[in-house]
Amino acid sequence: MQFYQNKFSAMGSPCALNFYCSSPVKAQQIFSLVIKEVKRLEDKYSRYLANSLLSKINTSAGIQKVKIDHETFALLAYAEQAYQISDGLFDITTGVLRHIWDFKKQQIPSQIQIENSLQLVDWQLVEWQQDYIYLPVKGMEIDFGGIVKEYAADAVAALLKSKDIKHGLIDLGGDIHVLGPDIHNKPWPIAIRSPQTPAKLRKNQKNQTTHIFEQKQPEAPQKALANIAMTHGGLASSGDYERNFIVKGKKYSHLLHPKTGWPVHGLSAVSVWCEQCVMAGTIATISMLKQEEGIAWLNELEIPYVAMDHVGGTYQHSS
Amino acid sequence: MKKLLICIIVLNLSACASVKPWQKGNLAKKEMSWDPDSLQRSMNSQVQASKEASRGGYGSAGGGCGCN
Amino acid sequence: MSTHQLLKSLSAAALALPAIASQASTIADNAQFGYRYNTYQEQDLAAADVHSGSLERYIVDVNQFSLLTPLNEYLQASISLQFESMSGASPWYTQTVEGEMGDEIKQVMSGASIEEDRTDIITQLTYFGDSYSVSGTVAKSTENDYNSLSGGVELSYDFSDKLTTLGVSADYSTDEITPSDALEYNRTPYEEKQSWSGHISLSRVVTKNLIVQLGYGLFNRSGYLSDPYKRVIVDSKLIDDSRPDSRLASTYTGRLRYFVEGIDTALHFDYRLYEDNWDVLSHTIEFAPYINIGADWQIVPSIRYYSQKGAFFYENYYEYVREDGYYSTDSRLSSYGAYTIGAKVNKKIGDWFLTASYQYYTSSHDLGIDDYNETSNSLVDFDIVSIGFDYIF
Repeated sequence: MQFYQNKFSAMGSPCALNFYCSSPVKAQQIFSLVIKEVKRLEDKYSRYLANSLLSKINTSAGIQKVKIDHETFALLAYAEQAYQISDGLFDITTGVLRHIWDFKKQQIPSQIQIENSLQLVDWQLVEWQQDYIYLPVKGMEIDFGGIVKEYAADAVAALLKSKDIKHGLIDLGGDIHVLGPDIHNKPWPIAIRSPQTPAKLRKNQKNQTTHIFEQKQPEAPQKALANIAMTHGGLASSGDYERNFIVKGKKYSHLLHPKTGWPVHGLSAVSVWCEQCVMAGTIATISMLKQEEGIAWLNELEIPYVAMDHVGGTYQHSS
Repeated sequence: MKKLLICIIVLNLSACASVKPWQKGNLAKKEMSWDPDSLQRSMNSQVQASKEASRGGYGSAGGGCGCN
Repeated sequence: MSTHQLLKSLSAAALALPAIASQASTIADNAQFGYRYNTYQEQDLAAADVHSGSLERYIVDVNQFSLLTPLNEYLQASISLQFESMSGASPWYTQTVEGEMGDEIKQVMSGASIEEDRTDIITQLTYFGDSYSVSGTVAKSTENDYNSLSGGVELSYDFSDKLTTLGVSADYSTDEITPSDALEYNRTPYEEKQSWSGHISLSRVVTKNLIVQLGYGLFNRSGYLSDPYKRVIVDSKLIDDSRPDSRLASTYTGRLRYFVEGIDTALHFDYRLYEDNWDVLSHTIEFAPYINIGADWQIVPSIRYYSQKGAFFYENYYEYVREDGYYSTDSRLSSYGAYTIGAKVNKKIGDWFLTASYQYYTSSHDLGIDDYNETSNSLVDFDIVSIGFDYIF
């Protein structure tokens, strides 16, 4: 058994596939299958690609129904559950607010702009069935942020499993799925970076999490928020460290509240781990959206997590 | 006696807390399955059926044999 | 809805996502081969209990092979073969002998050593759907004096809460009995027997470390249910062992698996209540902790207690003629109790799984709970030594 590590870029993030495999030929085959699967999901659900199914759904808003397959239906059904369990906070129609919150220009939109934009945010207006989806108002959009990249990590894990890989770790921009312990039957060590690490040190490390075994970069004097050991399951993180801007000393995160239209301000970063990466991602995102109530909600779920608030206070629960 | 036993177990069942899928790691272990060693289970049930007046109870009764 | 119920629905939605759903399937990932060698040996009867014939009881060597393989994403096939060769003597009939304390009942054993082979083949095909699996089984057992052919279906269904599983199974078997040396010993030359059974079970995950199962089964046998090799002395005449030609049994079972995290041990507890219309009623209690030692070793001590109330027509020796005409001195139909103690060691080395075990079974009238009918003097004690391995490809 040999250790293979393949780094690649997908879904706008640095990714890495780490696994043990019996032959280099098989490892190469598996790597190309993994790339193919991640690309497939990106091509289908990216909002940045004009030809994706998602873009087609969005450009058909107020015009026509769009035919969908089983996988898309299952993702919508999943999004519906996420909407339900978050009392409407996890709303996949929120993305439209990004047009007015332009993080490149670093401008705060006017309240009128926000209110106009909020007219287009309401998941419950969306008509969807087994075989079609229809966004009833022109300008409405959906996106699978917080779902698809995480789901892709789970899909890669399923693919590795079907190829008899028993020891592997897929990292899609910090969304991680661990498939079995490493070759020595030890858990994979995963360090969750503190969001307070100076931006300079994080320049080349967009991800919130990293694997400690990846020792190629020189050790940065950064402090880990937590070190966890995983033998299986998913880990996902959400936080305002990814994209944000600061105006008059106040940080505006890219995570937007579907009811107020304003960036959320509560927790700085949350990492959650559970059986599926997709669930971990949804739960981490919801806890961010819950702002001050996020920690209490996570505790109530009895799900393992680590979190940090804006003054550097840390919280965790491990089961 | 047996009715009482069954009632007690059923009551406990309805009172049970929900177990989330990601908490099922222990339950998935081989030693937690109903029959971790199916060959031994089949050997034992055959020997027991050939020595005792009772048989079956755990799924299919399977084929007979003229075991003496 | 409580947070937990909401989370459960989210996880159900996650498990319905195509890539994850395929992961949840329980189909075997790899082909698996298993082999066991078992040697079964009965202890000799006490000389004082035997009037004539051999004191030696059965010795049986059993070789078991199994192969399990996925055929595609949804189908799994398995085949298991069992070869047995047995030799020994078995109880024939009982008779009274004049002794110091008056008449004593003694066992007459079959004279010459009986030698026999049995071949058993079981094939099974299982289809795994999203939340269910269905399997079909065909089995055939061949001996020189006994043939059995059986078929069965089994369904397992997971409820949407992913915590409850329903199991339903049914099977049918038809057996042919062609006793050896029928002419010489005036035995019946050919008989038939049919059996069917149905079973239903409900399993439930109670906590992250506890799963319980309740089961109910019905088992019906009809046709020739007597033992063609056994005789009974009634009214000074040696007649055939003769039992009712139908037998309907019910079983009630409760099983529990509990994982104790602190000691890395899985506790197994099984209980079965069996009753039938021959008035046989039995309790079986089994307990076994599967103790993990490090990552690769496992030891499994076990204890089983069994107690039965005998069949209504059983007697160790018949003083009187029965109106119903049923006679059997077969110790298996008497009231008795039995203990099995066992120990097993398992070791994992890469894709190999090695196993060795020892079991000792002892039975007597006094160990039983019921004191319904006479004590038998041909109850057996035996032990089984097994060694074997599983290999995952």
